[in-house]
Amino acid sequence: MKDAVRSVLIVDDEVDACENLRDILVDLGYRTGIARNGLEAIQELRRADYDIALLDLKMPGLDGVSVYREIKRLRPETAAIVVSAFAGSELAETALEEGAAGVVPKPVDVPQLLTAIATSLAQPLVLVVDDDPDFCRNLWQILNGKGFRVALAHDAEEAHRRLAAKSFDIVLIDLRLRGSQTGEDVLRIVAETNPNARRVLVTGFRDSSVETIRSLVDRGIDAVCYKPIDVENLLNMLSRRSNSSDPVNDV
Amino acid sequence: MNREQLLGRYRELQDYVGWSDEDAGRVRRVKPLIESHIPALVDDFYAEIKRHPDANKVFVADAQVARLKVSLKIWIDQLFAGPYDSDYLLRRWQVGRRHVEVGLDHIYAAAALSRLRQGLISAVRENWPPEWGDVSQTTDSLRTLIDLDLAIIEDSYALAYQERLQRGERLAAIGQIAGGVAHELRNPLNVVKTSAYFLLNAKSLSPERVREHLNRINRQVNHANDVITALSSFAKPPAPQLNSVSVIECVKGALERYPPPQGIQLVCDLPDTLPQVNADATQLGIVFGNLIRNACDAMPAGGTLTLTAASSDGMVEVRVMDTGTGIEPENLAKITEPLFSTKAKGMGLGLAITHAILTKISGKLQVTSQKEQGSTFSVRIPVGSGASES
Repeated sequence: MKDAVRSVLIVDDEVDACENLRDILVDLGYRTGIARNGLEAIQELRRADYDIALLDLKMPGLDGVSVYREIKRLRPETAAIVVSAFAGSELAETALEEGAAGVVPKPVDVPQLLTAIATSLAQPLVLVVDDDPDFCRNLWQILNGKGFRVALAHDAEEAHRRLAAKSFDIVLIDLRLRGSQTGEDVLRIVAETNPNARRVLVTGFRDSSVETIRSLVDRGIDAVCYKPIDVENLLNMLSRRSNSSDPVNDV
Repeated sequence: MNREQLLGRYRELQDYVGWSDEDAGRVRRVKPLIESHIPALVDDFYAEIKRHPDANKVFVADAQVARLKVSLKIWIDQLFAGPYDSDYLLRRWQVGRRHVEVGLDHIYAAAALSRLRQGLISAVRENWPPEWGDVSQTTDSLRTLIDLDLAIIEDSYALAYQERLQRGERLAAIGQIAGGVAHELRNPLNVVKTSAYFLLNAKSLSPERVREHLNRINRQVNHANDVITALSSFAKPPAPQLNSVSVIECVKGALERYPPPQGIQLVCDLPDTLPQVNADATQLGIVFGNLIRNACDAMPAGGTLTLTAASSDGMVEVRVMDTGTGIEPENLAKITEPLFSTKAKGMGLGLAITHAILTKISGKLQVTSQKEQGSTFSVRIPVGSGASES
């Protein structure tokens, strides 16, 4: 079952601060979770999926940046917004460098925070399916830096789980995957679970014969992205809101 | 330093080196002899300073050097002509202060002045009319006069430099306090602000909810006030009200105020009776409260808090032991420094206050700690009489 309700995890060692944000967000229809330290946050993210994590920086035990690093590992598509009394600090800078979506200073200006949350949620959700972890990480950094929310799957099974849980706007698929299932299987799962998602093929083999392109169109692929990828072209293509009725694009 | 003090000090220096009116007369007499050499000496003085990169970077514009050359010319004129009064001295005094302001290391000024002295003395020697007799008395007078000038410049330089250092330290301390206070106050303000937003904007608001938020606001305002109280009582600690006090009662009171949280086992080895000490019961309660809270904070994953008390050699000793994270060896010396903290919360005043309270009653605070094993804080207070009567 896909979760239609937007969800926010609130991480702060100050109980009253957590409760207040929860009251405000629940009143606006969000699903919320509370963690009062880094370990609780990580446990909660293992247990449940969140679109957004609001992170305090200075907490006993793990600080906000360490928590964010773990979030990126566990749920790279969860956008982090730092909420801290140290908004201008080195720690806050580090969080931004690591890919956090924004920093909101305490005392929190709630409309500013709500805007930051809404902005993050409005970003396209991308799933990258590729068995090369370095390629995944690089693509995550590039796309996250451009504001996309990016989930990663390293094999078809993982891709299946991700696709079943969330509605993705774009799926980038490497056809050659390790494991029993291949990119073709992923394409089929995308068609079943996320029929509206744009499908972008990532491949190292350049084959522009008419038959190949026709077969790609038949399988619902609306762009091909050759490795090594041209980042600028990829970004241009992703930011277009076109869909599979267009001819296949080379990028 | 005001005019009179400056003049007084200068007169002392003059007496010390044996400066007399005859010296002044001799110096005044040679002025016309060297008049024409002064511009070249002034040029040489700044050329010498500018040869050193550290000194040169102080002088950014040629216009600045041109102004300084005019000043040096006036300085030399006054040197020969006098009078050696307070105006004369204030001018010298300003030189040292000015060098601190522009960041010129005094060593360059001293070296350049030494070079200028040589130049002036050579000029006197070369232009000395043989019929005037021996030149050495006059050159000695000139040397003495320049030494006196240099002493005044050095003095003003040292004082201005020290003032600047203190100003810098004060600013650093203010910055440190501001940083600590900012965090400690922004957190309660954050709760107040978000509660206010909720109360003003919530779509559904039950009376229970309203009460809950007003309670939060109240609680956090109290917390903010506690922060300010802690800071001001550290800056200006109240004088201890000394009485005969039971240390055991103070420890028990602190434990009641700060019961160890779940996961921390409490072991108490407190004898029923111990000699009384002369102390302020409230302040001693703060001491043990701080130590107990610190011990618990050091055991986020649980552990054992052990409290013992005993008396020997005229001292009552209380030990607060934890099995927590321990203190980094390099931090041990800093833990009683105000504003030093390794915790996510707090301003870093607890142990500084603890130390200050104990010092006032001739008490001692000692700590031993081992990383990942825990820390032991030992408080020793003299039996009976405390510190000086108050």
